[in-house]
Amino acid sequence: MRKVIDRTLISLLVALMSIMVLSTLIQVFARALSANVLFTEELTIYSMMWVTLFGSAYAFGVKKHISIDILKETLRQDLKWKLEVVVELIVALFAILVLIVGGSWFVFITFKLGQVSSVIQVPKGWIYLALPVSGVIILIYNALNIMDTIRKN
Amino acid sequence: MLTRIPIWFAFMAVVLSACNSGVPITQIKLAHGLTVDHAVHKGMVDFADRVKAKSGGTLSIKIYPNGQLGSESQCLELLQIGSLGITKVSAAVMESFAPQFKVLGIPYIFKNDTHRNAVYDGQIGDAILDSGKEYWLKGLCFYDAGSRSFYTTDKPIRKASDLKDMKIRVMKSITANKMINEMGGVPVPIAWGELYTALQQGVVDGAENNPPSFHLSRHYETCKYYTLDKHTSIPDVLVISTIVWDRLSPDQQSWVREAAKESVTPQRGYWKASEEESLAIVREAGVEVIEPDLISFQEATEEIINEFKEDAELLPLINEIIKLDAKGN
Repeated sequence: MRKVIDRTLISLLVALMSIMVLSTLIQVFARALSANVLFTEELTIYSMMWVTLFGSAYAFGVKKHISIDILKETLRQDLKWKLEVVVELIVALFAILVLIVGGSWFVFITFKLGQVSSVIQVPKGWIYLALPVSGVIILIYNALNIMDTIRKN
Repeated sequence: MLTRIPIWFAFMAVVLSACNSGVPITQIKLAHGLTVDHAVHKGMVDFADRVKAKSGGTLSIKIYPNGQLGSESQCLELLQIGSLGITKVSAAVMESFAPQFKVLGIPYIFKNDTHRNAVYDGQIGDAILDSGKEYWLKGLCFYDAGSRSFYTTDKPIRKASDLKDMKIRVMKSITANKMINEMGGVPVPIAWGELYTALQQGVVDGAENNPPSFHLSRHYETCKYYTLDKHTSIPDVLVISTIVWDRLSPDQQSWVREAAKESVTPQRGYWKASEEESLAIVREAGVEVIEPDLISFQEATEEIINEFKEDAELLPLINEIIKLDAKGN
């Protein structure tokens, strides 16, 4: 399970990063040749949003995200894993409330009201869909991380 | 437990004292991206003052300027989810939310300033403002944001054909792009904040904006020619979230509606003053301000209006605007 999500996310992130690099390059050359390319800026920004959200989900899955571990380091070994579970639960709460519930509501409104991006003219809802989807991925990682921690102890 | 009682007591006291003050004060948040010395900001201050006066202080508008709460399109999204009450955006930004606003960005759709103001103040303006309701964004009024004109670094533009092969910076908008193409220039999309350097280094030969923006951005330091061709007059729009609007009582709604409409005239005055001041300053700095014959520019952009007419949704609106004569009747 974990491996499948890891691999899918990595491929997605690599693809998005490539799009960002390519569209920025196109913009650089277009400007040098004074050709007129409008779509690059929006494409780069939206890819960046997706990279940020899915990247943070991935970083969370492989436990490479930023954390302050002063408290954890001072705790006894048998309390440490309990704290880890609590931290996972707090993150899960954030993922549910902000990303999944809030994000879905936001995506729903954006689709319903039909806002489109000003240049590519793609419905903005598709772009904001990254919010609830990354929320769900974080939640799955939460479950996997908690199971792993409990199994180890 | 004993230590907690005073805290709860204090909390209750605060809650009760809030209830005791009689009529509750409703506050609506207004956010926008302009600085506080901008003419449109002054218009909104006027609006806030009028709301306060009309309501006898029970309804207040708190203004968050300088883009504190986000960019124009972010503010509109905040309106749609009901986190923010009112915002001011350019009609160009409203386009991606409510398509009817597109007609205001058509080059030379307005015959002159009287015609333009008649459109904003009349039924057509109200119809466009109301069209936002469908997207949970109710337009309250149009604020004057002047007309955009070209300014160039080395080569003056005296007629539309002078634009041929000139690189002109445009906003990130399809219509703006098309317009430069029709006039024979090469549109280059560049962020507003990067434009000063771009002009200096010759990435573009010119740009276009209204006089106060030309002045405040200090682009007149590198651009020595300002051609007042007034190709587009895209207004600013004061927008209220329908979620917040529906929560207001009928009285409060009419105060807000009237205050917005009443703030339009003083705002036009502020705008005119700032436009004149800006033109005087750039002239003094050695900029040649050119007042060209508009016909060549109008002819060059005719194609765009025809393209818009193919849109069945916009056609009736465009026809109504054209039907009004130059005196606005």
